[in-house]
Amino acid sequence: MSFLKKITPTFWNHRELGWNTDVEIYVYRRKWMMLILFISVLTFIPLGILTAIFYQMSSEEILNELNEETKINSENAALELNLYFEEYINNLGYITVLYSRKELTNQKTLQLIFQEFKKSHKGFLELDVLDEQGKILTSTSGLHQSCLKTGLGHWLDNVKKREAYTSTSCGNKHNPHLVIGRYITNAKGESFILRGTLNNLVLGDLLGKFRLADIQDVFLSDSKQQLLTRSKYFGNPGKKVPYPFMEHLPDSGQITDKSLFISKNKFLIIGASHLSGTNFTVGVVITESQFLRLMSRTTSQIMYIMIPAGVMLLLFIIGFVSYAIDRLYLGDMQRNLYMEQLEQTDKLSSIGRLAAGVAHEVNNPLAIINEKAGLLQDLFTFVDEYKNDKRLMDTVDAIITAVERAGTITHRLLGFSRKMNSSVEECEPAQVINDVIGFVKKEAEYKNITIDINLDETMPRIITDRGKLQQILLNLATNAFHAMDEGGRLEIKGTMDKKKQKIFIKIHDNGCGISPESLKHIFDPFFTTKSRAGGTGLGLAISHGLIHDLKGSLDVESTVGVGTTFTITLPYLLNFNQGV
Amino acid sequence: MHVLLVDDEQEFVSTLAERLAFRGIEADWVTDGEKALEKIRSRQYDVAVLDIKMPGISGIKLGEKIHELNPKQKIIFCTGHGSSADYDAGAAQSGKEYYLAKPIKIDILIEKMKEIQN
Repeated sequence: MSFLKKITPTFWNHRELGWNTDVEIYVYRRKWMMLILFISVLTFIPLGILTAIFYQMSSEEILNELNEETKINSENAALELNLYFEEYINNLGYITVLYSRKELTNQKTLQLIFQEFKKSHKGFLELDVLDEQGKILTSTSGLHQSCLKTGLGHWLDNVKKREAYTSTSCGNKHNPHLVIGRYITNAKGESFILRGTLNNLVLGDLLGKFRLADIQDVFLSDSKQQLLTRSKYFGNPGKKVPYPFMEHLPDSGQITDKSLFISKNKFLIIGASHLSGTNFTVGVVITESQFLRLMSRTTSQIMYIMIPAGVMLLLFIIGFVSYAIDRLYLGDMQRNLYMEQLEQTDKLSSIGRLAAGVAHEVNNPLAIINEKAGLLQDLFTFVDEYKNDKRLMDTVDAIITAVERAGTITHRLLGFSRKMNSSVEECEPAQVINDVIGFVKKEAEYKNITIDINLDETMPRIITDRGKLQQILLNLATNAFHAMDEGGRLEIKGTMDKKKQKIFIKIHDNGCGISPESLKHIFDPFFTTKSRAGGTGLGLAISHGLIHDLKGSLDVESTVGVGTTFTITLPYLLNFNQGV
Repeated sequence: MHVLLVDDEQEFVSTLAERLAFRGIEADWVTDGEKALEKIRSRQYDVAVLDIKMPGISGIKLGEKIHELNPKQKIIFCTGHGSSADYDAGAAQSGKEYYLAKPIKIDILIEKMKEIQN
């Protein structure tokens, strides 16, 4: 709570502080909010744009990385399959080196070779020997006699032309097999074809190891986009890949055509590579969900940076604006105080001038009364007839005393008004106090307040601004009177400290006292507890300002229900070059 | 002692002159500056008591003119302006001139007259 209080700017609690001016509190709060809003907009819009650009760049980078990944993986998978096919083709070649055509056309021998071959080559299904016309000479299975006739010419041409050719078998559409043909002409000039049939499930296992990192699917298809291995997204072997991913396929590369953003499966990238010497293509797939997953990771990273940065920035803006508005507020208040002080001084000065005018005009008739009464007294004194008329003499004395009293008042008024203008002079503190008390004496009597003045007789004459000191004392005395509405005792005590060259004037009343909460703001301008009674809230603020001008200090101690003591501390000598 | 009293308030100045006479001081009185200058020209006065605020020639101006005629003339100014504190402090005193605040106490006036004369 105290921390909150500490960081709250002064203007925020304008009203609670007891400011009682035309300055509307919400003007500052509104300024504060508007400025924060304005600076935030100016700051956060570029930050938002930067974040969006950064996000876009990250998204493109991820897309490029995924593209590259599909390219590398499809190429590697194609390479692996090529090696696998080459190994088969080479092994078929070794058979023709080891065995003659005669031996190979022997069913029993071929069966033995097939059994041996199967041990080292997983997924090897059949081994056949064909003549140049495609006629089966021997076979480990007679099942494909008929099927080989279909499209045989094309297949034979390819095998003869390339000496080794890999293709799919055309029999079982739901489970197509791979067929590898090797055309051989041996040393005796005998030409024949060795044909091996492979279960393509083996290829599926082989491709499975390329399903790494972000790659979610790897498959093998033929030139008609018919699947040769099982695909996670497109189904079992024999099914067709429903997207024309091979249409623009280079030798190896990626397809990032937006048409592949299929809403149902949301494929993002299908990378593909040709298998050289075959009509097979290896396809790798990365789905949009994978891309989104990577993007969400990037988004999180951006947020980890941007959110704390945004919060810091906002805190900085709030702090800066609060400081600036507080300065503005305090400046306004200070200016207001000066204006009020000026107005008050001007008002007092006008009153002073008026009083001076009145005093002067009153002084002349007073002088006449004085002289006439004096003449009467002289007549009574110098003429024996009246000399002993005590009643007459007393009456004249009373007139002269009353005139003297009236004269004292007019002199005081004149003295007071003249001191409105700042002038530093030597004066006796006791006399200043007595002058001020002389003014408020009557009011004290009306209010049933007794005034005790207790001054150190050795108190020195001081060099100060007499008018300002009078005004301070008058303000404090008036305040004390307000605190003692039902009568009381005002005590003025004057002491000094010779070492420090200072005098102390304590003004103590036994009135209602001031609450600790109000005590904090008692010297704030416009702070008043007497607003209903017409208090301006300026008396103490002005006194505080005046005492500052006199290089002194004004302290206050108060207990509710017990009373209040104001202590004025003044230097013997008012030196404008010294600190307070 | 022979003094000249100058004040536009006739009641004041005439009464003051009468009272001074009771105390053995001969006092002539006039109510404006011109008459005062005539008096000064006509004879020598020990002290001139001048009111400051007067119609026509002000007391200060009159003081200057008197000094032009007689530089050694002793003058006491009296005024409705100012407070006794000013005079007590002696701040306003300068050379030959003295100031007194109205209403004047006759004993103090006589005291000042004697003082200035010596």
